[in-house]
Amino acid sequence: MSPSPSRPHRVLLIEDNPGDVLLIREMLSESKSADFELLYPVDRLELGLKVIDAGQVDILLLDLHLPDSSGIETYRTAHASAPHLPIIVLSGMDNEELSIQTVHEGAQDYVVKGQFDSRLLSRAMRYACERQVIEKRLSKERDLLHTLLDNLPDRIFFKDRESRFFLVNPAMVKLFAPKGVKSDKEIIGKTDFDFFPKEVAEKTFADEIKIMLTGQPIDGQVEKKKFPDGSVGWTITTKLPLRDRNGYICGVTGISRDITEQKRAEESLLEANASLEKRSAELQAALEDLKKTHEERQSLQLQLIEAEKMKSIGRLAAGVAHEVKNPLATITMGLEYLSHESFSGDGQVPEILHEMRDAVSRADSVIRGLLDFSAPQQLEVKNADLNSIINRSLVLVRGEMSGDGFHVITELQPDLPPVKIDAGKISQVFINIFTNAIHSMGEGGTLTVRTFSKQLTGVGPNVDDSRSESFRVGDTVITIEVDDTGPGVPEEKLGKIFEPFFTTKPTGKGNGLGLSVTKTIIDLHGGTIDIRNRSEGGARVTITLKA
Amino acid sequence: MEKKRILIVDDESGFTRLLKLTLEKTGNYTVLEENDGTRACEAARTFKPDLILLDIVMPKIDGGDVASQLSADPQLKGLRIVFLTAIVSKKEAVPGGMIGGFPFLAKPITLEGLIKCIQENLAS
Repeated sequence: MSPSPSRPHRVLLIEDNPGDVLLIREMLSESKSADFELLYPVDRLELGLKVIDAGQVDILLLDLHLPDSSGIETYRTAHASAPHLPIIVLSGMDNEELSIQTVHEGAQDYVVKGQFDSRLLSRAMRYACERQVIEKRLSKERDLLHTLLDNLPDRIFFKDRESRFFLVNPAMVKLFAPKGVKSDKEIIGKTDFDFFPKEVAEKTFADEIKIMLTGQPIDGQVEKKKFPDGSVGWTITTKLPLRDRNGYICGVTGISRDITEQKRAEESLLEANASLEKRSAELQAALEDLKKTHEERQSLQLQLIEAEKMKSIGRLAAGVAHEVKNPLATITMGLEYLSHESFSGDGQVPEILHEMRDAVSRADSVIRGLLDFSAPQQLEVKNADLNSIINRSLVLVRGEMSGDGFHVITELQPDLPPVKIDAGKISQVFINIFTNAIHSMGEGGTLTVRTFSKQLTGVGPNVDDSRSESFRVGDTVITIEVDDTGPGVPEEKLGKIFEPFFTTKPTGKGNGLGLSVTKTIIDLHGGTIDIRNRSEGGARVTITLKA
Repeated sequence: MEKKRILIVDDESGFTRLLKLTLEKTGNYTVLEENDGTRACEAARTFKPDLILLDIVMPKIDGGDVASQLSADPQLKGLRIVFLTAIVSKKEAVPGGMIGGFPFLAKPITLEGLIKCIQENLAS
């Protein structure tokens, strides 16, 4: 045990020669050193060991030839009993060699009887104590280092300037075991070339040369490599330059961890993530499909409801037609009768009769329109020339253009391909559209009718000129554009323009069924119809039919 | 010129009354009205019309059945029948349209249209 700084070192002398005991006691008292306190000397080893066991001794002066022990065995017994106790052997003139052997086995020093004085003895004891303290500290540090080296699962190594191992831990031995390595001694002095595949060793060697040249460490280098057992795995390695006490680089040290399991876990996680993402995408797609199916079903339901509604409207229309038309017929006949009477003196009568006839005619027109709208639609399709139908329809609506303020411009593509249509119904479509355009222009304007054919380069909303799912890329379609110079359709009403009974015309001027019927006819032909306001004013109706 | 005899079979008595007055006012026709479809054949055999204006939708019997009975009656052979109907769409109401092989007129009718139709059918 070490004394506290305030307490002197307690010295035990084991010596059987009373003369030597006396001499040493005198020497210590001569030295007048307060650093040492001589305990009561003992003449046998056994007694000495008991004093040492009591823990009261800081340094031992030991004679090797005692009554109960002799020679090197005396030292060995004392050292074994107190391995950390500094021992100075008192040697006789004739056995210096024996004393030297004790120093090899751990004794701090020896002094030859008859050849030392108090100064020499004091110095020997002081040095012995100081060396003991240093050795204790070194021993502790060594223990700590070995605890680390022996127990860490990481591979730790120290290499010299030629990248030869000079210290490795058991994890390194384990790594090289597949190469027949059983202890660290079989690694010391060798390089990575002795254990790793050439390409792995070359890479390691180059890295270490660089560290030794630049002094820069490699921190956390993750590598995939082939191990000595032939397996392939991942390591993370940190290497530092190793410096001597003068600061010169004398090698490298490194610590390397096998992260193969971690990497595999990461890869599994990535795979699981990818699989999860894929599954999620599939689920999303399934959801979209489901949504689409749901929408389609909803749309179908709406169509069925619409069809059922139309049937009901049809029945209702027939009933209304009968009940309304009969009174209308009676009124008409009454008007016919009255119109052949003379109402002398009242000039207003003819005008009144005219107004009444006009009112009956309007009511009749509504009823007929309703019947048209609700009647089941069937097409009688034949190849027809659209341009001719347009021209005939224009002739029929001439009567609607009152005054000279109207101009009709036709830009009809001469070689328009024939198209399979119900000419009668398509004619009805044109008459409706032309009539609407003319009425919207009031006193005058320009009606432009254009036809052209083209091959579709795209379909869908805002692509090319098709807004229908009826068409496919590559289809040849015929487009009919009808432009007017009227006020256009109010934006808020554009969405409702094809709904039955919707009209922008003043009361009495339209029954709101014309465009509904028109759209139904175009739908039956698998075509599209669209009404938009033109930027330069007026409206444009665009009809697209498949050629 | 001898006046043509026209039988009107229609359950709308107001309409038949005014139609009779209007036609007769032209001075060219003698008109009998019959508002019960089931008595159409009997009226025809008694009145011996040149042409019958026959309503289709009537409460006890429809115009189609009446037309069949009239056609089947040997005493009435050669009798011209023109249907009058309220249930036609614009498309059907074209001049010269036929229902069940008979010409028809869509209500409401103008005097001009009616006379033209009568004349054409009597001439054929």
